[in-house]
Amino acid sequence: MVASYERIHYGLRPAKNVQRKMIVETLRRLAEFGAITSYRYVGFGSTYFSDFTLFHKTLGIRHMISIERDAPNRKRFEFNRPFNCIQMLFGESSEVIPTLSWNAKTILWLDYDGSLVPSVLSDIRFFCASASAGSVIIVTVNAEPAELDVESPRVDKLQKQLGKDRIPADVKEQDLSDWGTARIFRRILTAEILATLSERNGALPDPLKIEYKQLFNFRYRDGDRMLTVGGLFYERGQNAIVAKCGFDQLEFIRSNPKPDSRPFVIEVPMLTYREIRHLDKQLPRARRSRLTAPKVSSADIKRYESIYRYFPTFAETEV
Amino acid sequence: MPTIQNRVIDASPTKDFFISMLIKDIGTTRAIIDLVDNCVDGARRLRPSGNYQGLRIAIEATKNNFQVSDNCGGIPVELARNYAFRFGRPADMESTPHSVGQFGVGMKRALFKLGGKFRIESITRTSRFVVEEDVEEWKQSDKWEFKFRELETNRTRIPLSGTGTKIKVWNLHRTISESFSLESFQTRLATELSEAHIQTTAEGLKIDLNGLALGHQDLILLQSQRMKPAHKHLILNGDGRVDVHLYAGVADSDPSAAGWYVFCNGRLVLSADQSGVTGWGETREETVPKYHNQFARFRGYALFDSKDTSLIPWNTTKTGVDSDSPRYRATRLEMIKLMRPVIDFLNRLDAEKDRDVTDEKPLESTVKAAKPTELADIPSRPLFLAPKPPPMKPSPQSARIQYTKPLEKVRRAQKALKVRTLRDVGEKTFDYFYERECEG
Repeated sequence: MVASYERIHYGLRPAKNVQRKMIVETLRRLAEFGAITSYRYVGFGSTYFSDFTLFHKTLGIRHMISIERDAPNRKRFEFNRPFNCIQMLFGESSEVIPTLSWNAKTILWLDYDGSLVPSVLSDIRFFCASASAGSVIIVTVNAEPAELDVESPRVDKLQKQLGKDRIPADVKEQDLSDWGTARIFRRILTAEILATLSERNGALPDPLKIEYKQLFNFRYRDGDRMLTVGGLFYERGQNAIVAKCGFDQLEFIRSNPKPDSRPFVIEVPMLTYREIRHLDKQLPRARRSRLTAPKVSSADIKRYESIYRYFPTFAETEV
Repeated sequence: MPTIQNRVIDASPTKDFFISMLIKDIGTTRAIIDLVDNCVDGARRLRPSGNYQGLRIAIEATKNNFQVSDNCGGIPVELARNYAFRFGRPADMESTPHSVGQFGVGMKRALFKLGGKFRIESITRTSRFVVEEDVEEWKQSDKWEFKFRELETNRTRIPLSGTGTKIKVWNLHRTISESFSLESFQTRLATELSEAHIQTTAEGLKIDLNGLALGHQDLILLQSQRMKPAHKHLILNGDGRVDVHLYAGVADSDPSAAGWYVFCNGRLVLSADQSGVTGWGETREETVPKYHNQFARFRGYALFDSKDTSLIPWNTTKTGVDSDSPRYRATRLEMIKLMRPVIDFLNRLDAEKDRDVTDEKPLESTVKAAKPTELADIPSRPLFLAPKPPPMKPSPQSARIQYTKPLEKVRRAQKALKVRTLRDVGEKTFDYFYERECEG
């Protein structure tokens, strides 16, 4: 299989680009837990390190670890490392994560290319078993529905893939079409986080028990349907700090953990620079006013409005 | 109209339930170990700070008789009157700190399991009592009572050496008596007995079975400069404190000894566990694989200790853990975290075996050079320190293909190719295909 970094330029995936900036804006609010520069970032930098570059430049995080499975091409990753503060650890994430110490407040972004497989749950489990209060987990998985196959329904495939005990009992075949798979994946991922915390909390006195507040439930597609879920770990005694962070003031935050809660859908409309400038001049919109751009559909205008502050502009350039 | 009276449903226990049903939950060897647990608790009451030198428990299990006796201080009369013979443990009962007895069922269950008549004689420094019962007669009576057949309190103080408890059971049930006369049973009993109190015997308590002293083995892990076991001290602080010491590392390659050992207040409740209870096969084997013989060197120890015995996560037969207990679930999560790096290392060690005989085997030599170290001498370490793997070799640039075809066809191909060896037949046919279909 060709590694995804050889198939697609990470920087050029517009929806993913928007999502990354929204995540940065969220992470800034962690300051209530401690200086954001004191956080550690652990991710999968690939050869592009887009997230690492953004987090280092905009948040000032200096303690960064990139996990890379493609050990034979070690030199290529070392060469592409954009900043000196990024430490490369080679190996499967499921092997590297258990060997890290998680005492430091950490932002962990498990940004997989592939579908939700057991090793994803295992990585989540190891992190949730150790993550300190104030840490953030973000998980991105491919949420394309499995191929249609009369012989083997999607539900069966999913049960084989993850084990019967992890598929919610109410899931039916029709629940897995279109974005349904993403909806179910979010439930399974969240269930794994909560189950691990419940085990961990068995040893802790009440005020120190670890809670999980969902922050992210993004859907986007630059190609395949992708799902990003994630949230914050905090101690029961830290409710006031969490409230102070004011995550819910951000319009893309999705903190309702219920199975049928709405995701934030990132759709990047195809607009010309002229149209973008024209819309920008009307934004932020005054109450009861309407955005206009000649012959641009109202759906596209609405999409643009929901993400305009994070809208990527790509231009051909030699940096 | 229903009256108050006929709204009452009888839920009182029957004696038969305790005599005939409860005993099904426990094996014979385990029932005997339960009786030994009482002796060990005696030793703990006598010497709260440990060091059991000079204390001895003697077990005799023959075709017609069973007896366990100790010199561990005897059972105080008040303890016997209010607790030792009660079915279930009264909530207000103050228990021996760090004790092994907890549920108030072990001794009675063991006595019923073994035979029809029993006699318990106990001598403390100032008291002495004897309880003797015929189980069949006791069953007939409506009263939930045993009687002191002999009772002396406020005796003149006697030296400690004269104290102790002696439990005798006779009229052994037929299956029990048959078991006791089997050598295989005796061997198993000896092994389980010496394992069960491995921690206490290490502190000097002696256990004899039919006149023979049981050996005691040490709990060890291999350690060296380059390879160090994990040792983590957890304090479970939900409601009341439980201390857990977890150790994970490698020892001798022995498939029957590999796995997790769980001790509760010094008592082994799980031995060489290779099941999901201790984390094996977790998350479809992604978190931890199922046990396999390439992990025969794995050893993990979980030592639970609490002054308050009710907080300890064991089951009532002490043959396993209470896996639903929040304390155990939290500990199990830590066990999984500690074992994973050991498992990864053992996988690399296994992969190293596949190298050519001539290649160096740095991981294996590290393991061989490491020294067995007792748990007590293993310092704290959050993670297993594995020897560094050798630098990765570049992935192979060629692959080997093997297949079988009917001889007649192979011969014809050989003729057509004008080659002498079968190897050439394989290579030329591959080249023939490749040139036409894959190149250009």
